[in-house]
Amino acid sequence: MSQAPSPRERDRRGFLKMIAAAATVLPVAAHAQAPAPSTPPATPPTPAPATPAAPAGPEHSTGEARLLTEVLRSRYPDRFNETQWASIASDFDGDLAGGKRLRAMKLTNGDEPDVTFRA
Amino acid sequence: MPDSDLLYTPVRALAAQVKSKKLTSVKLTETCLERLDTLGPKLNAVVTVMRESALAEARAADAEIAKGRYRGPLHGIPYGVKDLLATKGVPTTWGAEPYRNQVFDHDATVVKKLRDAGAVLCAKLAMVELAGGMGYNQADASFTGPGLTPWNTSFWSGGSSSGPGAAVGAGLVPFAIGSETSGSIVTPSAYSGVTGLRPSYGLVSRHGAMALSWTLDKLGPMGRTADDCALVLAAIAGPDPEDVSCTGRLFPWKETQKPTRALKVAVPKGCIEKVQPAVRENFEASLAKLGDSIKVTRDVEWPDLPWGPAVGTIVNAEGASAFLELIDSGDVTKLRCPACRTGGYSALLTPAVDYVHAMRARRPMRAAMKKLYASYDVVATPTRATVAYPIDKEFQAVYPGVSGGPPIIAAGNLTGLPALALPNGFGENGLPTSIAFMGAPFSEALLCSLGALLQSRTDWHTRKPPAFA
Repeated sequence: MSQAPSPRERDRRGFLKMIAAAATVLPVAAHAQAPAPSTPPATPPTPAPATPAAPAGPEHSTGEARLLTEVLRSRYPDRFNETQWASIASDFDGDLAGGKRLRAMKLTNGDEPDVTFRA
Repeated sequence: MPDSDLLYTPVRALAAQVKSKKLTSVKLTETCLERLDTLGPKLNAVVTVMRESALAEARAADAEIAKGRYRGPLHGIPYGVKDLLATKGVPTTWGAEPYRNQVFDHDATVVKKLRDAGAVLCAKLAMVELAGGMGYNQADASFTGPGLTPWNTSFWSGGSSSGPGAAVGAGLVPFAIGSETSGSIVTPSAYSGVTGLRPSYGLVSRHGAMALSWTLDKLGPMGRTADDCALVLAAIAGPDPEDVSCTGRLFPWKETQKPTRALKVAVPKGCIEKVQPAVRENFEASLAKLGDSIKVTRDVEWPDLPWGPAVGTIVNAEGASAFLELIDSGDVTKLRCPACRTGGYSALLTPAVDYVHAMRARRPMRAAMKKLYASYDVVATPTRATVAYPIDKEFQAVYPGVSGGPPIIAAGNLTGLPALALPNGFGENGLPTSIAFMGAPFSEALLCSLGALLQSRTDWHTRKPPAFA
């Protein structure tokens, strides 16, 4: 069953267009505005806490991490200072690296999620 | 026996005294409350002391026992719970400033089950804010301050069950209930020098516990001995219609069973090479103590799968959903640890495809563990590669170059496996080290029997931190 796009979905599509348009310029702009300091990862280096270790963030966050950070900045424009935004960009670096490793695990088409929905 | 010795006494021995009326529950509970009040603040271990209700429960226990109605080995025994378990009418803070005044109108299932067993709830114990779900990078990550290990109060008691670790380690309570999403029972057990049991996923109801990750969260006991942990697990395991993850399995436990054959123990490749020297030496000494009760195979290849990224993705997605309102409203910025104030935001954008991929990966991951446990009874590793972290430094700044090798904790939690952490000596700065035994799903009886065997041949679990003796 198809559904009419919700306002949120329309917003998201519009935002994706903006991202696509900005992709070539935003990283440079973001870099000029807020060079990411060498902030430590937000999670410990060992799996003591509930959240596992993120790899050490690079000195400058990747373009993809900066773009994702801009998504959040557009959603919460006044919430953080530049040091905190840089920390969030560093978090994205860790998440993106983890996601890349996760997706490298080959699964077959029939591998279902390890949760069972019951009616 | 000095009063302080009482709370370093194993539950089974305390139970014998209570049952025979040589010791009253009221006496035991008063000792416990006194130590929680006076020593708890020195360790940042306590959120709420429940003096009145504890003494009422203790008096009721003594009255029942006097009438010959003895409920079992936890009857009249005091304990504490990590402050993420709901307790009716008493604040349940989740260790976090935004929830400091939160009060529920019901008790968590685990609290009810322990009450049914006759145990006496004395305190809500400190924890890392939101069980570490927002990604902390330092010990000072709770509104109660950093949890301190009683062995050296310049160092952390571990997280996220920091209060249960410190409180049991310092003899403030005979046992406590902690929780683990990925390492939060075994780590504070290691850093505080106590015995901790992470049960199989689905053995213990989480109803009434703060949710961080529905498919990873577990509740389990932390105590003086493996036998203590088993006694407590026997009381809290079992069905609960309020938690659909509960398998309904029970955990009957009367006493430790000496293994009838040499247990096949796997030591994964890379798990001891880069740990601190004392951690390695104590690990080897523990295996040697078990002698011909075990048959050790070394350098066992650990399945090369994305354990860490899968846990990270699942905790990010489920945790961001669980705390969406807190993050979206900005109230998360009231958390203590600076990293926690921003740590939830990147998780909001976790791709749905990545989450589903991580959940799909868990089936082949479980299959890989099943294959491993077809050849071995137990996986043995140092619980942690290092002793506790100092409280005044960010985690990654300490102990450079040290590594525990394969991500055993992540793998065990992703696949729902039980693990038992046992103190096994001391390392740098007089801090405890620990060995972990991880088994196949629902093999807690085997793990506890093996742990009890080790503890029958060593005395690390009987040591008392000098400043809290």
